[in-house]
Amino acid sequence: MKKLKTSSIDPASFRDPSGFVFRQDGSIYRQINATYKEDYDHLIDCGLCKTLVEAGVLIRHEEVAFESARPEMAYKLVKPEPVPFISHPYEWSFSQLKDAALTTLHIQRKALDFGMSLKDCSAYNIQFMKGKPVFIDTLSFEKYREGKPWVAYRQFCQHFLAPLALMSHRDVRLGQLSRVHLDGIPLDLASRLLPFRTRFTFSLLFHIHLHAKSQSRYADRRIDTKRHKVGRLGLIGIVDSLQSALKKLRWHAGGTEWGEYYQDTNYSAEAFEHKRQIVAEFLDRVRPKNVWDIGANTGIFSRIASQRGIPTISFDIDPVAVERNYLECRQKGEIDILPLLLDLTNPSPSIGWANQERASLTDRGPADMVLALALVHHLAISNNVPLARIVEFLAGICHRLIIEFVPKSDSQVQRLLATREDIFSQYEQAAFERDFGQCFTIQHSARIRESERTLYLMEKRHP
Amino acid sequence: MYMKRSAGLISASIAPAVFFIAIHQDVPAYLDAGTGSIILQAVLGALVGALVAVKLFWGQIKSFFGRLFSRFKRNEETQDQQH
Repeated sequence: MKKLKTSSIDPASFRDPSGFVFRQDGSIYRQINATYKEDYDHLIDCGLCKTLVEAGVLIRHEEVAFESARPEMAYKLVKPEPVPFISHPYEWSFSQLKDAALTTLHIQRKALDFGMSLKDCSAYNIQFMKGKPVFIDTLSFEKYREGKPWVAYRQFCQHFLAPLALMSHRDVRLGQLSRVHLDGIPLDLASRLLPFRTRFTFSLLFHIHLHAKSQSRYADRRIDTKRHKVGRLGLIGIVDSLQSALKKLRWHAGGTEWGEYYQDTNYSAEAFEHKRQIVAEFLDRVRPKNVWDIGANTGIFSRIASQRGIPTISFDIDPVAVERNYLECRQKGEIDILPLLLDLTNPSPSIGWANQERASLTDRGPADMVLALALVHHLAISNNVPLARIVEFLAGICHRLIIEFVPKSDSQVQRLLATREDIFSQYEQAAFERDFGQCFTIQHSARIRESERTLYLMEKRHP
Repeated sequence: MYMKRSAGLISASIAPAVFFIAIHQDVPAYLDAGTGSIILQAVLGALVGALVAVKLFWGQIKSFFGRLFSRFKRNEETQDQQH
């Protein structure tokens, strides 16, 4: 039996005593502790695991014959299928969060059919793999005990229903509350923020408003749980009711500044086509292992990479653009592109216990290649970031770079300067090349026809 | 025959109730379900559980009432003929 060397335990894997995740020689493993033996064996033996894996909603794993680094606790070690990029729920668009919620409920419904139940409904247990939401925590199942309430019901409402209801009924930007509230949006807060009319919807009245009232009424009170049983049919009814509540929640991705970007641009059709050709040519020269398209809008240029089979993350600040991008992926069944919400001027930080539970954007990199198209002028002029700082940031998140320089004479930059004083004397092409030359080697550059813009292919210098 | 059907229906209807009073076992859980959430689940579970039961046994309920009404109708017709 191969013995594992000292391994590094995932900093997010400490709450559930059923086991933990650790990294060894670049692979991810999960230890199943002896305390979880009965539930794990049932998950495998009853056929639930196989059913969910075959349906593509539960991560595939194989048992491995290693000797654990903590054998005194271990029952088994498993190696789950690798997740190419870990994304966080507050980086998802409305429909991504809704699909993740419906997948979780589908799993709970199936689990009840097999005599099991989810004991953990954290939205962080869902990851997008090949375009679809997949449940990644094999240790979240427990044997169903007749009469026992659903222990993860509160968590489901906080992680999924509350943010989705707020995004649908109040404002889509309220999804960002999940970044502050790591264990989901508190239901009393959701109840206060939701419009009064939501009290007339049966499911929201019960799952959010009365749920919040019940929490505050019984806060810190111990009860005899034997007196408050929930039968199996009751649990099925609760899951069905949550499902129908979620299906009714809708958000129309209407027009925003960015959602209409390509209809409101200064490109001619020829310039746009030429830009696509240059990006494709640069990608074919380098053939990167993965791409992050930062400032991707609805993902037109991301798709030049993803259609070449390159795993591509398509980041944008605008919820409308990310939503449209995801709906297109879903409609076309695209598997190599993952749209995500990201404000580059305030990227996802490391959060949670000891600032280590949920990794920051930079901790999840570096990407083999970054696409930064029509972006630098927004960072430099709208957000006042000096070019040298932009270079420093990009050098920290990628090995290679395709970047577009948009000069001040371009009408888009003129628009940014229309309402403010031009304090950006350093923003010009020679300074751009000089500053990027500090950290990158410029390998190729090409002027986009019928425009004043230039595309560069760069590689990070090795220190 | 009628008694047999009624007995079947009654046992089908009380089946969900049996679930509610089944033996409860405590198992260690690392998440705090929350007292308020448990109480809400018990109330909501009883409401929506009854609906699930109705959905589940809808065919039987429908055929039971169908037969019941057709029986009344037959009885009325027989009585009319006798008069």
